[in-house]
Amino acid sequence: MRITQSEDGWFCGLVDGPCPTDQWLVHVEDPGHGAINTFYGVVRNHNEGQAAASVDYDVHEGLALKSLAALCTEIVASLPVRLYVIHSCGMVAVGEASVVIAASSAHRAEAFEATRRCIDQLKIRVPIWKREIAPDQSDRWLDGHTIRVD
Amino acid sequence: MQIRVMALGVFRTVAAEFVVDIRDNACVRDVREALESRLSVESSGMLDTLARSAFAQDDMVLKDSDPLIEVDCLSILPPVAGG
Repeated sequence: MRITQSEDGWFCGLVDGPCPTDQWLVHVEDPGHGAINTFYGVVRNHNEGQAAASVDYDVHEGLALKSLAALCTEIVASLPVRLYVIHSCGMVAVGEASVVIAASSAHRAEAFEATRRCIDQLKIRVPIWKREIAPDQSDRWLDGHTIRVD
Repeated sequence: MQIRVMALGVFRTVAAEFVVDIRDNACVRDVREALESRLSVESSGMLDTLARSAFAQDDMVLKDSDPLIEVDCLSILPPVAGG
């Protein structure tokens, strides 16, 4: 896993293949936090009316890590949370996790908000692209959100 | 001068990388226009995606007006779709 983390309470990373779902707790547990919220983005077997078997994630790794770190920094600066986010690179099959987010806070509202903000912003800011592969092995690249800055 | 543009996402269906010839002291917009000319011949269906794509040098997303000084390689970043 390629990671970036901060003493401010966030951890982000990129992993080859499906995301492990058993590694987030150590990064968000805090004796002062009474709420932990998790989000797993999981590859589903259909999209836009078409069957899917897997997704191949193409990633600009340097820029993606930088974008994830900026996103975590923003969230932790505005909400009293600890935050963990990892995303897959490469092939992820139906039922496997491609993104795992965990947020902890003293009370539940901030953990919910941090998790939602993290996945919503990740989808429109982080340079990651999906090539969806059908059961017959045909494929297509999915459209997304521009990150042009002008 | 020559600039290599590394393809990412859907641009990989066209080429692993593009090499474009542009004038000295060019800016990112010149690379975009050179790619536009090439894609209009080879893969016109990609022109809309090109218009919505960004360019990056290493880990920095550039503006079209940014000058290319001592730059020989960029990445083209089509609209993103993580998660």
